[in-house]
Amino acid sequence: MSITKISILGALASLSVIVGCSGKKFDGPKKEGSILGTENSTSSSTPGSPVIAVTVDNRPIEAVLCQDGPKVVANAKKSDFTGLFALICNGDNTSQLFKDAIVGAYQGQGEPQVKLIKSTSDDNYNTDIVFIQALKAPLANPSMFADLKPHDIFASGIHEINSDLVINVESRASFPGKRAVEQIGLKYSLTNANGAAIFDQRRTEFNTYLLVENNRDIVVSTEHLLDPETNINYHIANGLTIGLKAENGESYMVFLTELVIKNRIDPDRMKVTLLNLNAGVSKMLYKHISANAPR
Amino acid sequence: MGTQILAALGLAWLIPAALFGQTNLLPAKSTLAVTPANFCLGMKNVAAITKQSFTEEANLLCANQAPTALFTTLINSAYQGTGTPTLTTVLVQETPATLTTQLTVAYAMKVNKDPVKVLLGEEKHVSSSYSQDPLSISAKFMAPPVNSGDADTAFVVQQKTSVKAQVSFDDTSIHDLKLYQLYTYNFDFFLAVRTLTAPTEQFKKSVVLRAIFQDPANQNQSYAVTILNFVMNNRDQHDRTVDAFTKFIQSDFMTLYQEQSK
Repeated sequence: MSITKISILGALASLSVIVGCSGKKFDGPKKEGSILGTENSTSSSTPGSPVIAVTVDNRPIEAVLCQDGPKVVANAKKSDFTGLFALICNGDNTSQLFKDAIVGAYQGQGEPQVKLIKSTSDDNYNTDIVFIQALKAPLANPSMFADLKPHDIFASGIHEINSDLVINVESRASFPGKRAVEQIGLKYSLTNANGAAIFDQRRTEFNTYLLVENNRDIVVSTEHLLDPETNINYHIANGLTIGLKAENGESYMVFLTELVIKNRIDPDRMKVTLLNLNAGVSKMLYKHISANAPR
Repeated sequence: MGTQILAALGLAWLIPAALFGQTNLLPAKSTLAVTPANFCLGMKNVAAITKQSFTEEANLLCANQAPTALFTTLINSAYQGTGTPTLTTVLVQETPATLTTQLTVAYAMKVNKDPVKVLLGEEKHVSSSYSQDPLSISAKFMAPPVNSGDADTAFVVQQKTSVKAQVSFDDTSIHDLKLYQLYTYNFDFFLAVRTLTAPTEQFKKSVVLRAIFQDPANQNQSYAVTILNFVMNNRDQHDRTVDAFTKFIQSDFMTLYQEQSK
């Protein structure tokens, strides 16, 4: 199994159009938006118990995610992802939000479920948006996805409903240090935001980690903004992509994205745009995997 | 020292995020005084990035980066929903050699909305149609243009202009509608400009420039000051052309006021 294969997973997270965690939260009065908590979410899963019957390192794979994930990611010191891990983990167990995402993972039929977890704006037009989505793809383990170079399909653009986003890979390095197996530099250009041409670009870095050495059944990728000091529209653009082996030769990929957008006067447009594009990402990825995954 | 120990123990994930260098703060709210003078100073920031041509119209409001007498007069007489709204005629000029008419007018309104909401109303206003014998005007959005940083938001609008009279015609024109923020991280001063992408049979020039800024006395109110400048084929019907398009502008003024008052 090559390192390259693993790194691609990371690109997936970025493709999901953002993830992120909390750096500095704006503390101004919230005048619109809502936080869609996990309290009211529903699923067929039993609270507290894993929904994926796979073990890694003699532990449930979801326990490995919540026990090791925050530590491995934090040790890399790329950004603060504790806020995103807090959304998907309750102690050593995955949260109901995570379980619901797994249960509702897109499998090529109908529309992908992109859940808006948070959407708040303050009176200085700073908007914090958090999404989660998942897909279940025909891959024996999540690292196999690397060979499919999924990030490449986004260079030609993601078009969904009335929005367009182009993501280009600007750099790629294997074993860049800090336990990462691959590092990818990405450039996002949002060329059409629900019918409007806005100037919206950002550069991010995508890093992929194995949580258990030499084990390809669980992979975590992070994404963070490279230019927060100079980017006039993004304060945070963090992402967390979780790749988990499922049963029956399939794998789950869960994408968590947090964007703190600044200096944008139309948060509703951004929300609609990102929801649409994230759904488009899931559809493109699933189609790409289905057509190209090894049988 | 504490963080070093945590890191040495493999517990770096317990170190606060701020210690990883995430110390950048969100920008503070702008404290720039809301004055026509600062609007005019901000116009240089738009001039530095725009690809649209509207110098002639901008100069009617701001000359040498300072408010003109016209700008001040328009602000002081801004329509607020009572009485009859008035247009200020800047120029009506016939050029017989080219059978064209230049019509340049201005108006202002004061509405109970903050400037951001007024600016966002520009997009909604595009679909407002007009029909009053003999002139009909309607518009729709086309695919958005490439935005290379030359505006904050950009649209392409296709306008259908139709006249049914002794001389009847239909005209299709394409316009750029671009929205500008005059100062970064400031939400008190904006500019909306609609320009013709290429001359048509009817329109040789068509510019609608709208200055939008907060009322200094009330942060929930805004001024919208508009300059319209058309150079049109008059088909040797100068007076009728002026009359028909003046009625359109007057009606559009009221339509916009009603939209912005919702």
